[in-house]
Amino acid sequence: MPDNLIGVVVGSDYAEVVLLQQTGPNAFTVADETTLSLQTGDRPPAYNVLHGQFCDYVQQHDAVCVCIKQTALSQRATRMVHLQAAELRGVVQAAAAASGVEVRLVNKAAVSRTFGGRKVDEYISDNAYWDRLGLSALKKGLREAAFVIVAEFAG
Amino acid sequence: MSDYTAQLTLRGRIGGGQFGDVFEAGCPLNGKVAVKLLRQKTGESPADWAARSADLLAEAIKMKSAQHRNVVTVHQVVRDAHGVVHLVTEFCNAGSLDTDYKAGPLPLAKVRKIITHASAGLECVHSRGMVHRDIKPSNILCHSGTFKIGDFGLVTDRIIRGYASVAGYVSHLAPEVFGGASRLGVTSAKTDVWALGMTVYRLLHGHSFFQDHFGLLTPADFERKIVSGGFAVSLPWLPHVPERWRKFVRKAMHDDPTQRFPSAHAMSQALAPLPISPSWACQYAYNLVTWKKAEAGRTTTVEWVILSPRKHRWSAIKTGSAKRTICIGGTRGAEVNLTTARTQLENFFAASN
Repeated sequence: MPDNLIGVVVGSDYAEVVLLQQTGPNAFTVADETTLSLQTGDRPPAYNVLHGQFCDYVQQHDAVCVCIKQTALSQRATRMVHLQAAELRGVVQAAAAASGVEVRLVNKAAVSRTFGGRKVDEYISDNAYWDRLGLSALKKGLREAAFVIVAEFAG
Repeated sequence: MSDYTAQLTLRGRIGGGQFGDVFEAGCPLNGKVAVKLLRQKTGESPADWAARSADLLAEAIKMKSAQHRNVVTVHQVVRDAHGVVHLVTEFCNAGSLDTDYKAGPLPLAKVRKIITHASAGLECVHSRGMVHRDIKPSNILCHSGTFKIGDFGLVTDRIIRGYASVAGYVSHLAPEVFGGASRLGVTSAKTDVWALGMTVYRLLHGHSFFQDHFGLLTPADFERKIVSGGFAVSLPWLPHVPERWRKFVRKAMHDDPTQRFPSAHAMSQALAPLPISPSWACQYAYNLVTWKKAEAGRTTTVEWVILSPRKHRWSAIKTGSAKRTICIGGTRGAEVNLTTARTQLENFFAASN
C-alpha cells in the first residue's frame, strides 16, 4: 500500500492540508483534502485547538511524512498577518512533530532553483502538468499544498 | 475475569442512568476509576441481555483502539460471577455536562469549546468504524478542563428508540433512525452529527428553556415532528444566539443526511468562525430572562419580563464605573406581544455583536 503523504500550506488563520498517495515516481492520487480553520477569539486557545486537530489528522490518516511550506521573508513590508502566519506554521510544525512522523520544511525559493526547469508558480498554474501527475481533480487552491509533496517525493 | 473485579474497591455512587449505577472505585493499576455496573434491564429477556452484554464486551475491544484525549478511556470491561458487567473507565473529576445543562444556558465560548472537544472525540470514534448512538449532555464528561465523550456501546440499533423514549432524548434521534414504514432504524456517523447538533441546541438554551418549550411533548410527538420534517427549522431560540449559530445547528440537524455536515471533523471546522463575543451570561426562568455582560468596567444588563404569553416587556441598561445607569434599549415600560419582543431583542443583540 502506498505511503500517505501530507502537504501543508499555512496562512494567518488557516492550514490547507492535502493527503496524497504516491503511486509511481511521478504519479500521485488525492486521498483527502481539508482546510483547518483557526477559531475566532483569542489566538492561544485557538492554536491549541488547531494543534490537536492537526495531530488527529496525521494519526487518523496514518501519514508517514508531513511536508510544510516554510516561512520565507516577504519581499514587501512584513505585516502582522505574515507574523501570525509564521506563528501558526510553528504550531503546525510542532503538531506534526508530536505525531511522530517525519516532518520536512519545503522552501519555495530553493525548490524554484532546484526542482525541474521552472519556477514553482509556473508548475502550479500549468494544468497539463497536474494532469500528468494524476492530480487534475485537485482544486487549484490546494495545488501549492500538494506541490510541497511533489517537490520532495517526485522522482 | 472476576479476578480483576475483585481488586476494584467500590466507593461512593457518583451517578446512574438507564443502564446502571456508576461508582467511584480504586483500582490497583489505574488509581481512581469510574465503574458502571450494568445489569439485565427490567423486562429484558435473558437472551437479549446475553446478546447485549456480549455486544458490550465486543465493543470494549474496539473502544480500546479509540484512545483519544476527548474520549473517556475504557480500562476494562469484565463480567462477574453473577453476570453483572463492570465497565471500568477513566474517572473524570468534573463529572458530566448534565449539571451545567441544568444550570441554564451556557455562554457561546464554552459551548464552542465543548463541541470542539466532543467532535474531535467523535471523529476518532467514527474513523474506527464505530457509531456512538447516544450523544447528549450527560454523556459528555469533563476532566481538568478537557471534555470527553463517554458511554460507548451501551445503546445498540436494536434498543435505540425504546431507550431514547425512556431517557427523554428522542429529539437526539435523526429522522432516518425511525426508519419510516419499515420501522427498522439505521444509525451512522450522520445520526451522531444530528445528536451533536441537538446537544449544541440544548447547551445554548439550558434545561429549563427546553422543558418550557418541549416538556409537554411525548416521545411519540417528538417522533412525529422529526419524521414529518423541518424539526430543526421550527426550533425556538433565545434571542442572543446569533444567526450563524442557528444555521450551524440547522445544518447539523438537516432532515436530509446528505445536507448535514459530512463528518464530526467538518462540524468542528464549521465551528471555528462562529462568533463567541460579546459573552452574554444568560439566566432563564419561565417569566424572566436576564443577560449580563461586563466590558471595560461597564456592565450591560438586559431583562425580558414575560407577564403572560401575550404581554412582554424588556429593557437594556448599561452601568458605568460611577454607577450611572443609561437605558440603551427596551420597550420603556410598554407591553408588547411575543413576536415584537423577540424581534426587538434579536435586533438589539445582533447590533451589540
